[in-house]
Amino acid sequence: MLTAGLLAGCGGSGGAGDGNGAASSGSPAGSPGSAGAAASASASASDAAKPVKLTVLNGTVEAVDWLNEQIKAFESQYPNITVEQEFQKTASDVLKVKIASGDTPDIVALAQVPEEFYDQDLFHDFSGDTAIWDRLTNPDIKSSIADTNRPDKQFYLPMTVSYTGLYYNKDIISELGIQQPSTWEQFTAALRTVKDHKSGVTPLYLGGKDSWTLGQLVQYLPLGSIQQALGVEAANKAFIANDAAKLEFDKPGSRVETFAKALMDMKSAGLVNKNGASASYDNQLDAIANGKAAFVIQGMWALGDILKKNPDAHIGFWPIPALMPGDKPYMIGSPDGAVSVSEKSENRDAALKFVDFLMSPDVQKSYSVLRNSPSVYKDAAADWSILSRDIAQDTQNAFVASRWPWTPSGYNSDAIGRTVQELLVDAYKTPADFAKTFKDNWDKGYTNAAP
Amino acid sequence: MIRIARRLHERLHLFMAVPALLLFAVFFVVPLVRGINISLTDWTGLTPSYHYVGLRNFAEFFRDARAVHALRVTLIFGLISPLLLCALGLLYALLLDNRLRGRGFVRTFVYMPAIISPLIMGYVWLLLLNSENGALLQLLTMLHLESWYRDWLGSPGQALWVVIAVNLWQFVGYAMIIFLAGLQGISAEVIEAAKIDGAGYGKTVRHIIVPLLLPAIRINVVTNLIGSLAVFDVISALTDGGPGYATESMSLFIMRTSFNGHTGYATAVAIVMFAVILIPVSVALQLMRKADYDR
Repeated sequence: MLTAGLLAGCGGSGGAGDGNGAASSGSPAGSPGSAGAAASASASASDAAKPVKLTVLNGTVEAVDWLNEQIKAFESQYPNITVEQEFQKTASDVLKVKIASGDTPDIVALAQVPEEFYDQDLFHDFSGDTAIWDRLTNPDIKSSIADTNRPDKQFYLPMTVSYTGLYYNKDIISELGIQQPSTWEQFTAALRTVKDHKSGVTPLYLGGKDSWTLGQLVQYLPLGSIQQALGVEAANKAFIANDAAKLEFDKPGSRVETFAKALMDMKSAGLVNKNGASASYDNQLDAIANGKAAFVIQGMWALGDILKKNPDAHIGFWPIPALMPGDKPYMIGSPDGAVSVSEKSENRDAALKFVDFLMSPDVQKSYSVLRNSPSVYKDAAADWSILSRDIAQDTQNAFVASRWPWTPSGYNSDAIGRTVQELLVDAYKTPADFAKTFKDNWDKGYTNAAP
Repeated sequence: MIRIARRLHERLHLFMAVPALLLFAVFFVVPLVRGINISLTDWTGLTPSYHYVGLRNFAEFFRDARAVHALRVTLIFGLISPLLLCALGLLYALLLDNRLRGRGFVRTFVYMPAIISPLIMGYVWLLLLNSENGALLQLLTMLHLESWYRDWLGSPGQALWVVIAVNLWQFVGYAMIIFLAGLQGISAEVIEAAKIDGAGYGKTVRHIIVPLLLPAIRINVVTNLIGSLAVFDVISALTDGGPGYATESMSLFIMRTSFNGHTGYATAVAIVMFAVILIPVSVALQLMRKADYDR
């Protein structure tokens, strides 16, 4: 009952037009000009002296110290503005509670803001901020972060391009003479070579206790293959519309079924760790950093922690081998480090000032180095990673998706990962059983459908 | 006038309940009523609008295999844990009620885990049992006994029993303290009289001590039932409901479903959970009240 009470307590009142969640509030969405210009234009001299306190909800643990440093630098430039950072591991869930209870943070540094909040214009639209878009290394980035339902709007500013792919231990790979695998058969053969010649080394290490790591495998492999077949934007539309004819999740021999079979085969052949469902993300990074695993599939965000575990780790990065015949090796190279500003915030102008500061070239350079990822801004180019050369080469040979494959809010990568956990603990007799459960869960995951 | 003043004076104690009633209304009744209201809607928790769907969410609960599994996990954990806690807590209390050397130290040692957050305790046990570099695995490896190690947390059939064991280890001291307090209230003369009448230790415990401990048993059963049926933190830390959904309790299911855009449905499940807790607690209270009368 306490849970029911809490839920009720957090829930905004029902019906349309209530409090913070209201779509009908009168303040206009979006403002032209740069974030800083908008802020300056509306901030009067008296406002400048008025003390303002901003709140930032941050969902990236690796950026906590970095953000605190930026806050300190910003506060020294704007003594009347104080900024308070709140880090939350499950920031996306915390944001939902905060918005439902009318306590929206002024700034949200989080990639997974639910689409529904953008639809209600709860966040500032940066689409007219030409100064910032002119700085992009690739003009297509603007369209790749466009709002799903209103492609002319951008509700957040990106900071870096984050790549996901196949980390490998260079020492093991060169010792065994393994070449870059492009197809799943080549990849399986490479894993077999590791298993046969390196006892004590796990060929491919899974950190499935943190279920999102397994859910992302589904995004990279079967859903990524759909992106290759339809094109990134068309696939995105098919995912959002749940276009069963195009997605073909439960068709015999479907991509999802092929993925399940591949994982089942790898498990029975001992090519992945036995404890794939209970080992953690941290165990996974430890394994690749210290030569206990030959391969792991992860994003660039993991590199900093890998190097913390072993600064001398000899690591390389390839695209993920193609699961389906005819596909290219796959990578995601999508904008990351999203920063949004609450449109309804009383401190919106000060918040935009802070965001303007965050987007300045020097700050973006330091973020790029911190995240081991290239900046999206031309004037923030930095020596961002030991893997920059690998990635430059990889992007020539791979299908690089500029968006993550979309998933329904009720079946996100975390929830998908739990279905994969079940696969790893033999809960499904056949790959088709897995595909059927996946399809059922996917359909239920849409918020406009009965659960 | 005097009569009115006297009546007011006589009923003053009723007015003193007003602050408590107000708090109860604000923090229990209002959320409950709103919870019931939300449970009848398709509210996603993400948009301000919703539609009333009648009892559809409640009907959905019984069709939802994952929800029914969560109910099963909750009932297994919630009914077995209190039984084990009471049995083991009573054993500890009987043992440590004797004049043994170092009993104060043992009592403290057994009780100490109960004052630590179950979430922290769950993470501590996770570090101990981790299948990659956990302390238990390292110890067994040191003793060349690593073949004894099993990945219990990664096994759908065993993970829940690990959670029950960790919960038992943590809260057995709490049950023990309540029984010890009950034992202090039993007069030494009663025990002495039983001995003189020829009752052995077993008979004294069964026919004298346990009946006299009924109030302590009642407190233990009720608090442990409520706590166990609402279990969240230790599962969240140890298994996160996994592998898959093998150890997902109702409270974990409610939280996930609510944050995944099905707040109306999650609230309906919370109402079901209220009944799930209320029924066994009421039955337990009724049975113990009957035992009191019989005595």
